[in-house]
This record gives sequence, structure tokens and C-alpha cells, in this order.
Amino acid sequence: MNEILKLDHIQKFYGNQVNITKAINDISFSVGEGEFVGIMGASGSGKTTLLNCISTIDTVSAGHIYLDGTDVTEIREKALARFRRENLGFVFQDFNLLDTLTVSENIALALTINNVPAEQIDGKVREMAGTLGITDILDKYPYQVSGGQKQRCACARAIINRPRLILADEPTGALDSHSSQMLLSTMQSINEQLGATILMVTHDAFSASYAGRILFLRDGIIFTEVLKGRDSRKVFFEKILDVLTMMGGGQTDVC
Amino acid sequence: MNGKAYWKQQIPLLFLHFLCMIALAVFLWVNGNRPDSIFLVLAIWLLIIAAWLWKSYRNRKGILDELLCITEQLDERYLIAEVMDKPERADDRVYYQILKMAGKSMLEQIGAVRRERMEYKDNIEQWVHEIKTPITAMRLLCENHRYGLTKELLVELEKINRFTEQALYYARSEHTEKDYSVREIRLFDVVHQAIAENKYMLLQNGVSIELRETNDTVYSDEKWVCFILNQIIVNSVKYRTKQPIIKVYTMRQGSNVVLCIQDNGIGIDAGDLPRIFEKGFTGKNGRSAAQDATGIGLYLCKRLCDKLDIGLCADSTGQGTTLRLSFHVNDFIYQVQG
Repeated sequence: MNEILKLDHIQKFYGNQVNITKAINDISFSVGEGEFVGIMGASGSGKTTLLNCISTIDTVSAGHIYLDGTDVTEIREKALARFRRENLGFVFQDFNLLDTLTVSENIALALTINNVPAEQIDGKVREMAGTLGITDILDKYPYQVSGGQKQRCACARAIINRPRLILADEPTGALDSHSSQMLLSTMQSINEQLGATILMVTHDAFSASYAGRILFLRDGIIFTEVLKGRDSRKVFFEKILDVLTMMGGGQTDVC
Repeated sequence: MNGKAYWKQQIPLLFLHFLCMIALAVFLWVNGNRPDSIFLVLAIWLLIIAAWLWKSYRNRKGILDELLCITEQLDERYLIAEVMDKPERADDRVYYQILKMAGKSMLEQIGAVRRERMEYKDNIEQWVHEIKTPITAMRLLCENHRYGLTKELLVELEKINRFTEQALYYARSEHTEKDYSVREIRLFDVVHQAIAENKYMLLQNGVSIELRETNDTVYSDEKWVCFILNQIIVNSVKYRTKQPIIKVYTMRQGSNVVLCIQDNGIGIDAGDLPRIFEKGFTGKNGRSAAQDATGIGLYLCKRLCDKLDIGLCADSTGQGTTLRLSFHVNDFIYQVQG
């Protein structure tokens, strides 16, 4: 398997004038091409910080992050936006769709920014919408559709450029259980059928069970990791719950 | 920020303004303006430039002084780039970026060294644990087959055990806090334990022990204290005279309980005495009396004592040496316990 993302002893400090906190202590792992990796941990364990560092929104204090061989920690600020646009796709908890544009325009925006010729745009958007099952809402505005549909629209926008890596920060955080399930199945099929590499941060064991590998973070280090292997999702879910129970403090997030 | 240096830096700018003022004055004069109106224009110009410079000086000084203050308050000053706000000015941003890059590469170096050392330390600890099994096995074998040779072997085994212990404690001494079990211990229990661990060596060298037992108790970690006593006893034997005697007794000194280990050995040279706790220091005795002196034993003792907050001092009067371990006793605890 081709290694697409590699973290090499990441450290991240946060601080105001007087206190310094170590959000990430020493994290190293790598993600292969086409993997669906979940990152779990209680609040304050550093999972969102980690995602922000990988997505170049935040800078690391020490260590290297290689995306496809490029060290993102060494990219100059000017080149960052371009790098993000071309290599990363984002799915946020609160969708971040533009309310003044229709769903199809929202998706097309990602293509427009990347200078895709206008005549190709419509076809690509329709194709992606077909894959994600949102064809019939393409002409509606985000406030006219449900949360689950919005999030699938956000997914379409994230993957339409075929980024090297898709980063999802609590994608099901604002959805009800049914929409969550739909979205996660969608993400799973994006992963399996389109071969997209996904890194998803979540604190919900159910969401995590859709991933193929889970990294558990605690106090800024990787506490442990579990692999789905050939297990069914149900068995994997049990495994995740076991780890959370062992780690302690995680139960409140599960129940 | 140094005000003088700042103003000095502004000289070229002031000079430029001065030239421009002259040029303007000449221009206005040639065009037939009255001198007093020219002076007025120049005065206003001067006022504006002065106010501008003063304001920017104050601003700059404020920002930089604050930054300096933050840096001084930090425990780990090398993290300043992580803590400070991103500066506004273009040239400051370059410095900020440099600071960040420098900090990053340093943190990476530190991280690499730390990991390497941890690995090494873990390795040593692992090794010590593994080597202890054959040592114990050998001791059992010797004790089950006692005759002249095995008795001598037992003495050597004791030494091997002590040295491996020393290696383990050396590897660990930095992180004693992870291995504390502080509780009330009876000092003489620990003394007995330390003597028992060295019984073969003491027997072989014909050392007589005099204990003036008391029931003094202190709060400390039994294992570490025992290790320290071990080292001290070994030293007493190493630098012995004929008919060696080791006396152990306690004293009360204010709020301290002092455990004294006194021997009648060759003593320590007055010139060496202040340096015996230094790492690798062997001194006169180490060279002449004991060829196997490593200069590690007492250094380790001192280090552990510092960690455990036990006072350790030695004095020697040419004949014999006394080592004093002073344990702090909190009277309040005894009062509460009644």
C-alpha cells in the first residue's frame, strides 16, 4: 500500500502570555492510500489540533508532516492556500456551505476556484451528485434541504477535485442518527468505490466504526490503535467500545 | 527598546526631511512668498513629523517591551514563538518566521535526543532485570553447595549484584518520582536490611558492626534509602583499616533525624572532602587504597538524596569517616497522630 500521509514525531504547543500547554506530545503514524482512518479521543486529547496541523490550518511546533512526499510543515505561507486547494478536501461539522448559492453551485465552486474549464463543470457536478444521491436537490438552496443532505453536499464539494486526502472534523456532529448513518455509508462508499483516503476525527464510537482503522488519542499521544481487519462493523464497534472503556472517561461520549 | 538607538536609526529620515524643508523653503522664497508664511509651513511640517515619530516610538516600545516581558516570564523561553502573537509589520514577520523555524528545528533535535535517551535507559533497565535472574540462580546454587570456593563466590556475587543495582539506579535516578513509595519507615529496619544485603562482604573482611538502636521513624522511600546505605557501607569496607568497625546511630537535630554511619577507616583527605560527591571523582584514596574506585557510588547517593530531600554530608578527621543522612521530620504529623 502506498503511503500517502506520514506524521513524524509531531509536537504542538499552545499558549497565552503565561501558560503553555502541550496539545500534542509526540505523535507519529502514517496513512496508506485508500485508507479510512478514524481519530478518537476525549475532548482535549488533541484530535482537532492534530487535524488542523495536517490540514495546514495550524502550524506544528516540531516534527514533519509528509503528504505524498511533500513536507507540509515547510511550505511557505503564500503557497499554502494553493496546496490545500489542490491536495486536501474538507468536511466540517457545520457544513460551511454558502447559503446564497444553490447546492450545485456550491459544489461547482470548488471546481471554479481550481480553474476547471466551464464546459466540464456541469458534467462533473452531476456525476458526483449521482454518486452521493443528491441529484434531485441540486437546484435547491442549502437552507431548503436537510442537514444530512447538506453534509453530503459538503462531501461532494470536498471530493470533486479528487484531493489526495479528505479531512473530516466531526462530520456527524450536527446530524441526527439517521442522517449520520446515511452520511457515514456515503463516506464509506466514497472510500471503497472512489478509493479516496479519508481521515476522520470523531468522538462517537458509532461513527468511528465505519472506518477501517482507529487511532485513540489521549493527552497528546497515541494511546493505542485498533484495526477493523475482516471483522464486521458490529464486532469492530464492540472493540472500539472496549478500548474506550479501558481508556476511561470515554464512556460518557458513547452513551 | 533603547530610545537612543532608535532615534539614531531615524537620523537618515530626519536628514531627508531637513533637505526637503530647505528645498521647499527655497522654492517658496523664489516664488515670492513672505518669510513668515514660509516659517509657518516649515513649523507645521516639523510638528507633524515630530508627532509621528514620537507616536511610532511609543507604539513600538510598547509592543517590544511587552514581548520582552512575556519572554522573561516563560519557563521554557525557547517556546516564545509559540506563545507570541503574530506580528503585524512586514519585517517583524520575517523575524517571527525565523524564530519559529529555529524553535521548530530545536524542538525536533531535543525530541530526537530525548527519545534516544529513553530508549537507552529502557534498554539498560531491561538488561538489569534480565541479568538478575542468573545472579539469583548462581547465589542459590552456591548457598546449596557450601564449601570454601562457593563462599568466596558468594562474596563476588554480592559485588556483581551491587554493581548491576548501581547501573539500574543510575539509569533511574533522574526519574525517581515515578518510583516513590513514601511511607513511615523505621530507620534501623532499613539499616538491618542494608547490612543483610552485604553480609558476605562484611563477614569476609571481619567487620564488626555496632548499632545503637533507636525507634526513630522518618517518612521516606525504603528502597532508595537502602540503596544509599548500601553504597556507604561498601565504601566503609573498601577504605578500611585493620579491625574495621562500623557504628550506626541516630541523633535529633532540631526538626531533623540524623542517621550517622561512622567507620574507623583510612579517612578522607581534607583536600578531597569537598569533592567526594562529584561524579567520577576518586581522589587520593581511590588511587592508592582501592583500585576499583569508580567515583560513581557517592555521586549517586548525593543525587538520590537531593531528589528525596535528604541531607547528606561527610566529615573525616583523618581517622575514620562519618556520613550523616539527615531526614526532615515534620513534627506536625506527630502532633496530629498523637
